[in-house]
Amino acid sequence: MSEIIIETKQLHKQFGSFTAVNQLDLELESGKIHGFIGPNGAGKTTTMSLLMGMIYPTKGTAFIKGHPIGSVPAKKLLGYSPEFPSFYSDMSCLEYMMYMGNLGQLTYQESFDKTIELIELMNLKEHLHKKVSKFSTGMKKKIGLAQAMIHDPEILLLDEPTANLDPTSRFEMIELMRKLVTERNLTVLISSHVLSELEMIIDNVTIINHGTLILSDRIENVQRMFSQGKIIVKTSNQELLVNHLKEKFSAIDIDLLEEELQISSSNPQIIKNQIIKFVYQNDLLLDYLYEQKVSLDSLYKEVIINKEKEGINQ
Amino acid sequence: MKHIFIKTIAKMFKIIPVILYMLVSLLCGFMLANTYRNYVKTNYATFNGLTSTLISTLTMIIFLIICGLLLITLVVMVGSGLFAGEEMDGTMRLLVAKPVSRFEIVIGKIAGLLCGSFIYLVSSIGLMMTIFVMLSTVDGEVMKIIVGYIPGYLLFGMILIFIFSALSCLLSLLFKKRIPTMIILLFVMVALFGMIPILRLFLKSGGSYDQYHMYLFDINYHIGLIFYQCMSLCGGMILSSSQMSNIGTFLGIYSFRKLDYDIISSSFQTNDYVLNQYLNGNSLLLIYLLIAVGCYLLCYLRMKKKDIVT
Repeated sequence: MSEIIIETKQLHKQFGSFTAVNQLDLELESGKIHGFIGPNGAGKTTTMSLLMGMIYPTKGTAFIKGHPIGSVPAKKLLGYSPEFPSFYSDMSCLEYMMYMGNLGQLTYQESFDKTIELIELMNLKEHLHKKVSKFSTGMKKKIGLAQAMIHDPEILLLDEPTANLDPTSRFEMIELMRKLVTERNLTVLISSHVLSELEMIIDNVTIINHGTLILSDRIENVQRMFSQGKIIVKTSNQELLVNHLKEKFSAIDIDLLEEELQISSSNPQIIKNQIIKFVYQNDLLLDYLYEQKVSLDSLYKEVIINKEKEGINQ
Repeated sequence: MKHIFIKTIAKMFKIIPVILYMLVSLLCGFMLANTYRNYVKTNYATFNGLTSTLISTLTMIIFLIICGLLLITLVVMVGSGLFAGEEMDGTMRLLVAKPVSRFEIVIGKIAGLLCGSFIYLVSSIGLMMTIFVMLSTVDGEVMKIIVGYIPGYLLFGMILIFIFSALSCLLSLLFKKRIPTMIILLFVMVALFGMIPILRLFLKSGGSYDQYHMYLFDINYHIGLIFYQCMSLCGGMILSSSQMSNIGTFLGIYSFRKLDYDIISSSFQTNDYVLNQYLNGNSLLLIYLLIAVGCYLLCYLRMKKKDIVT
């Protein structure tokens, strides 16, 4: 069991009458990549800002490895890459990185060495003396990530690191994050709307909506929890198969979705065996048969969109 | 803190303001040298007359141009964007996200502004005096007397920097954009150098200035009295009414007085100027410094509680 590196206790943030974060209780393990998902305005950026000490909680508190949020020791452990990184218009890439390093309590030499190391890693060496404000969006995002890492933090908070990037830059960014996390054993809290990409790299998933925690667990557990033993099957005679399964198992739900059957059961293995046996005995054509694994997209749809619809209908 | 301090100073020394400052300082040097040359050409030139004329011109240049125009403009321009500018550009989030306390951010920025402004003040006076010496071939004894007044001018400049920086920084933290801060400070400058002296003349002629103790709110007079006090604090270099004749009445620190008949007949003077001591100069200076310190404290408290949002 990894140690809890980020812990929030009833963390609450109110902007006037708007509740941005609502009594959030969160525990994030170290050495893992945590996906932080939710619709726009769910409170992801506000939560990150609270953890970084940029804004103060209205109520509750949070700790970074035991240090209260906003304190210098807590900030020393954190690196933050905002959704829209900001730069000093008069500074070159080198000057900017050096300044960020110095603010991160590095000496000039350490700051310079670290800048060169990160800039090489980001493939931006030829742009070292150019003004950062003139960089492309993808390059700015890379510099945003590099400045977050310059003081060797243990935790990275990445707010929409792939937003507004073209597919090539997005892929590069994902690969870069994967590489950095593997090499440096970092804890990462990453928010993104591109769930298919997030799915490739995260270990844990945390979903919030309206500032309230909906779910936080390991992605495998969540997938298991939401798949509910769903089997998807398509044969040459769906009707025959449905009748047979209903006759054989009383405690299963069968839905016909377009041309495929979606079968929910507490014991999917037995159902799968029975389907194979039935197809073989009746000389049917089996197009496909598999146990459904919940994708982050469908999980999001299930948890957020369907719940919102239910709320509206009620 | 050290890096924020250096960054703030570095940001103040951009090409355009440096060139502008240098040009105006050079022009001031020319003006002073020209005053010297014009005076020595006259037939009635005396040592006392020369020093008095030079100090009178120097006082006017330093009070109105170097401190009043250049220094306050610089402090207002830089101070108004010190916090609001960074917040507007989004770079404040970067600063706050780094392992630096908010106290260090406030101290680093304010100290940078004060130090940078002081460098401007010293270099400006230095450049002006260099040009003056180069162009006037001034006598050593005259120069000694002029140099004696420089610490007083520097002290006044420093106090002005301290007060206006406090006001600019506080406003910069209260507003998210630098424009409202600049408008307010511009209004203060217009009031200080335009509206108040005119209003004072109007009120004095009607007698309401003294009757309603308007000198309590007359910041133009306050600044004048602080200037006078700075000069007397630095080696007793008290400016006489003739040396302050250019700005003395503008600031309201001197009042015009008709002399008695016997004095007129003996000195061939028909009038004199007397110092308006409505308020005590030292107490006034202390009050202004305390207000400035209060503003700096409020800056820190505001920054400590402020949410840095996107």
